[in-house]
Amino acid sequence: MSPEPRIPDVVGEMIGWRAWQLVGSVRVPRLMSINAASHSVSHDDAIWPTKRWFIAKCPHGHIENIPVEGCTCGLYAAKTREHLVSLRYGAYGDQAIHAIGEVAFKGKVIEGTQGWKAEYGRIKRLIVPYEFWKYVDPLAAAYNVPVEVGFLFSESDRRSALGR
Amino acid sequence: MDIGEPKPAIVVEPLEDPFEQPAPAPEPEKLPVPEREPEKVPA
Repeated sequence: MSPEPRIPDVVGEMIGWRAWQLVGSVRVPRLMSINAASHSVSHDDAIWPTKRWFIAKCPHGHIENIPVEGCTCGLYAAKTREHLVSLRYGAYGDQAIHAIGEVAFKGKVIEGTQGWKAEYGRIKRLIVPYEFWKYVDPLAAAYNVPVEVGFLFSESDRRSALGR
Repeated sequence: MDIGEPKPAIVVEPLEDPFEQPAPAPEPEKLPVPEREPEKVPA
């Protein structure tokens, strides 16, 4: 049975920024959500698909109306790249992060003062740190999005590295 | 990731879905082939 059609509040997409780990190989790279393990999400449910929307699943058993209010389920993103990196989701924070990028959300979306939680997400563009330059073309081909190399430092990390 | 103070949920629908396959173009209508009169053979 197909789901009941919902009347949209917004026509378009909500745009945010998030980070991923690179998994697979240089020839067949895939992007995996960072905090999947800590949210009891299986490896397969954490890998972003290449040719369809990524659909949020709830690790606490909700099967509809995701993201459920008051639950941790949903696809997360910061509102801006600067904010994402300032939260230590750059390449050189505590987590092994290999790519950041812009995502578009659709379906049920909850806007917070600092970010988004959503039901469906897709990757719009990616930035990888210089040491992962070999992944640029394969990622662009796999996800059919623009990929570039760039700084994934936060402003404060950059200043302290430069001794300012 | 902390999204901060949440607002009420909304439903968002893209104008165009990038993953949706475009519908195949309809086949051109076939015109009926006119029946040919049988050739007259000279007597």
